[in-house]
Amino acid sequence: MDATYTWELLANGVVLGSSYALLAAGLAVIFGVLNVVNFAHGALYMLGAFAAYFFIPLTGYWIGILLTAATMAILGIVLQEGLLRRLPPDGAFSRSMLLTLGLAMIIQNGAIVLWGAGPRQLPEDSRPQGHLLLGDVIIPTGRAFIVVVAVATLGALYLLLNRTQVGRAMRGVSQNPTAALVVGISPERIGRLAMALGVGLAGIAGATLTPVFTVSPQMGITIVFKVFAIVVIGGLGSVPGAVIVAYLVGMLESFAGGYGSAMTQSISVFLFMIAIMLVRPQGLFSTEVRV
Amino acid sequence: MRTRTLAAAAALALTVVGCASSTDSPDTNSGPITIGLSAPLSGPAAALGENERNGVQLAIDQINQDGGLLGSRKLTLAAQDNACNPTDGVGSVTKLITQQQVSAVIGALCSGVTLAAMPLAKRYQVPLVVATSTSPDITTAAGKGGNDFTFRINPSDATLAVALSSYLHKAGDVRKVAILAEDSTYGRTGAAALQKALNDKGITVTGVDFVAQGTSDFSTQISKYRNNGTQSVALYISGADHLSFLRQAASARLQLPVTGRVELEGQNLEILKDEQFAGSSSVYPYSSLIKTPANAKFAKAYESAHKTPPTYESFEGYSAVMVLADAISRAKSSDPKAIQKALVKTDFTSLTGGTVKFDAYHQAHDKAFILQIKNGKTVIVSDVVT
Repeated sequence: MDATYTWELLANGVVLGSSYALLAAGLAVIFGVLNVVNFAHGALYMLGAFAAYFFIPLTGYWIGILLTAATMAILGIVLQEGLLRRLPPDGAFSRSMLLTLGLAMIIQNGAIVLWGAGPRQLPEDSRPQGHLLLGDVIIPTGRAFIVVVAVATLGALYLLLNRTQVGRAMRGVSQNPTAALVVGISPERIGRLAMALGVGLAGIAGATLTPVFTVSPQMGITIVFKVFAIVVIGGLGSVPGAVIVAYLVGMLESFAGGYGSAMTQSISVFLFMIAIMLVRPQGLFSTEVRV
Repeated sequence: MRTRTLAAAAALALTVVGCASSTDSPDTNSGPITIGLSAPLSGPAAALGENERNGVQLAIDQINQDGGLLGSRKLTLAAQDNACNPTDGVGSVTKLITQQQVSAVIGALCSGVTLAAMPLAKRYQVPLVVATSTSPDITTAAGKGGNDFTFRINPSDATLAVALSSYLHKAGDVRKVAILAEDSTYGRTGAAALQKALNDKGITVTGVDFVAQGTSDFSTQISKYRNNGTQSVALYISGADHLSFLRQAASARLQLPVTGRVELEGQNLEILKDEQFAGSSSVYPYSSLIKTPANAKFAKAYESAHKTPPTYESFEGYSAVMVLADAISRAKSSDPKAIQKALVKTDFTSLTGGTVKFDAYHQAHDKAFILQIKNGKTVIVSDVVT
């Protein structure tokens, strides 16, 4: 074990953190604006991966990712308009949890019926080829692209939330929905946008991982719990918190697994969550303005 | 008052009748014979369960096309999902036995689920034919171990591990092996068996990593193997995880042969035939390359039905139905207890060319195969009687 190994673990941590960040940011946007704990996030990530599995061979990598993001964003609007918005306000929070949990099961089992339970992989010629060599550290191009897409997407999300009128409106709704309504912000419109963003981000996460991992209906089951932990550690609903913690967890897992065992790697994120909950129950970056 | 008493008596009578019918044994003289299957049809191991169900269904279809059993009674399949989860597994087997009144159960694919379901077979006295679970603990608990209604047709990981470590020792190229196993009964007992067998042969185990089923990222383990002197990685992971690991190892240019329980066919083979995995080997209870007429016929029928070669799970599912059909014919009954008695005396020629004959622990000793990739193709190096 030498310096190269440490650099390799660092690079792995950044890649892992990038995929977590895309997923966690989507979950945080949905919770921050709509107050919905989206248990279907893992299933939507899987749907994004399948969408990319079908799009990328037809259109190429980059257009495939954009098409997946657009398709999933539209799906987000459909879910908001068709289901979430129709929940009675009384007990909407707990109802939304049950609804998204049921949705997750329907999507996952529907995918098994439609596409079978077996793993699929993108055809060889549709995957990003080759690898980058940073010193002695080998980074496959597909993994490097995850970082590029995550940085570009999360940068765009930051600008949208902080530098545009609609972003300010979203933050306004998250801070005080009634006051936002009073000043003329339409909660329906902002709700649609939040779901489009959140589900679109889950789709992008799935799409970037499609060329690197295999695609199967079960792929969202395990990762979603980790992403929930990340959002909780970051401060429920805080997008910057979720992104920062996603990268911290990526690093933590990479080094815990690299210098310990895979079990250490698995439990490290939850030990981290318990420790933070004891010291700072509201999460590391919790603020009044959630998104 | 009288009306109430009568109503209560009627309700009680109905309850008694209801209870009686729910525990009645299946009609053993006429009508279709129902074979139960408890397998993961959802969750991380769903792909394997689907393969097993395809094999079971193919065997049932073939038997029915040939006129059925016991005169002309058709076989029907009752399949229940166990999600590779012991709790769901117990529910699925209970439902198969008490509600669907099956004559025998095939299951439960995941070792942890099989171990949880075994007491039900004993309690309800319905044979459980284990066809794919490889945990050594199943053998020790069956037959002489106390559970007369459990029979296993596939080899235990303990015997497979001994066969593989003997091969690796003899080949002599690998002296340091890392084990990557899933965090399940299958992964844990398989890894323990291989670690012991490798140690006995003087091969060093550089580390054992247990990953959760459904793990998507293996970059940390791949980096570790590249840097800690590991000469080969033994895999005890299944389903999508298996393929995912190989995909990532390939793109990270990990130059190591893999070994362990690796299916050297299909999508796996497409990856493993690359030079970077030269010398990869596996111990497996089945390969579609087995050159027996019976296997050629099975492989052809399976491929024509599913457009893909049969897998280990499909083969074992198919074999389990054939072993049960043989027992039902000899028992001349579809009564579970009569089938159990006939199963004890099974002497059945497997598609592998080996024999399914149960020992005192109700463990059959069919053949297993050492497979290796040579010049981009999988070849059977040797077979061993387990």
